[in-house]
Amino acid sequence: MEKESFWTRIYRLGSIVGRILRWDRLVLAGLVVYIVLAFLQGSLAGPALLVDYSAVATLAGLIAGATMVEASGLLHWLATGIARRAPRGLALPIVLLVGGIVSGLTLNDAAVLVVAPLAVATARALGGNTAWALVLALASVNLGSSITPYGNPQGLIVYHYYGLSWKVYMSFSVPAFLPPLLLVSALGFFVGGRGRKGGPGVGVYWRTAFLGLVSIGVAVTAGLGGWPLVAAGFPIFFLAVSGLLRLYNLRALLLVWLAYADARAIGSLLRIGSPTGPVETYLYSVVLSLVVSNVPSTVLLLGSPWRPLLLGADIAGLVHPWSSIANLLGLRITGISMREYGWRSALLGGILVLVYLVLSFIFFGKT
Amino acid sequence: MLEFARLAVETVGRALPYFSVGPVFRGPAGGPVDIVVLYDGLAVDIVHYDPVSDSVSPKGRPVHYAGPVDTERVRRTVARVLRESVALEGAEFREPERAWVVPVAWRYLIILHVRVSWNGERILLDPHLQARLYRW
Repeated sequence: MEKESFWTRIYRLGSIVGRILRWDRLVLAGLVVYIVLAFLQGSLAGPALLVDYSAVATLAGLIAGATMVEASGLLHWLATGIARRAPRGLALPIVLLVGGIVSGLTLNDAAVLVVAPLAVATARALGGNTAWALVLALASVNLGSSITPYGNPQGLIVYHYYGLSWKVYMSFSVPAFLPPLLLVSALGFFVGGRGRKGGPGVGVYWRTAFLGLVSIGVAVTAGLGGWPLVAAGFPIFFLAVSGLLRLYNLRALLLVWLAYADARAIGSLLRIGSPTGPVETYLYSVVLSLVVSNVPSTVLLLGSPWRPLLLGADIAGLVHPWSSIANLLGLRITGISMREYGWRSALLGGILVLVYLVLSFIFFGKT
Repeated sequence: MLEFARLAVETVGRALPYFSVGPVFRGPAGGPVDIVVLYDGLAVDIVHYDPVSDSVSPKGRPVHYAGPVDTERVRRTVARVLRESVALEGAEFREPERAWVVPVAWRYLIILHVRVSWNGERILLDPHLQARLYRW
């Protein structure tokens, strides 16, 4: 590729902000909501002060790591390798199931940065539907991360607040979230595509891939260890050293920051009591998660019965990008359009919310 | 080294029939009209398109054009050109990327530079182009 002229680079740099505001409706919507909330709070910095900057720093590092992994071609190599070797039609289900299990063992925000692009790349390699692949990938990450106490922030919050043991937590989470994870993985059979291609395989820039994976590990470890500067700093440094700093997805980070600020600000303005009935708690949890996303809604409802609280927050997290930060990340990192993603996730998430509402009446209604 | 270079040229030759056209990029303020070439979903390189002659332009000569462009027509033209292209019998090695670069020509014009792994066996993506493809 020819080198761009200096003025083209300046133009491109200067047009980034304009492009974000013009073409990224989610960011624009987030900014509008921020301004309204700041006005309601009486301070422009109000929502910004509510953001968990330690979490944002961890995410900043994760995005840098994921950028390197993506740029190295590792995910495409994995995707085409799986696509060529897996039995026909099973490539995407395998990616979804393994991705869901992996996300239970690590932070869902870290898992989504690998699983989402991998699922999309697999579908693309096989001529499948990439929008559905993303919806199913985000669902599998969200569901898989719900199975263990450490898979996602809301699970961690509930686990610590209610003083649960692993046994008690997972005696609920496994029967609650494993069946839909298996279902979501199976749905990948219908949308993943079956096309097979000849030709030579795709390669990987292994040095970049290694740095990317190490960066993800550093971001997760340092983030959990309470060293946000390390969590963000090292991966971004590695990204710069790899010559890929220009590829850093600032838009994804900005979107996450806005989501945190807006959700926390909305949460602080809401005055809601703690529901005590299990079905009522489930409904509150679902509705609040759809409005302020699942982590703030979990915090707002602490004190209510934990099983329906967790169920509502985790299932509602499948419905739209706003209901889970992981969804926002997955959407931005894969480049699938909101229009393609939106109605599909609402359909799948909406059906699961209703199914679990019925199940809540059956199982929780007895208590 | 010679063997890896030969393999790299052969790999591009085998991959060529599976190259497909991706999105059309317009440069800022009616700048160059470029189309992304994909292999297995990977962005491999861009081809310069000349809207005036409805043909491709060689590497080093992006055509600046301010008028409207029929993207479907661009895709059809470049797809036809790709079918008629050949990998040239020569490769250069880029140490920073540890990759071979094999030129692809249509008639007497070099239109693509395809990256291949150091051992000549696998096609590599263009990371910057790949990011542009799926982010913006």
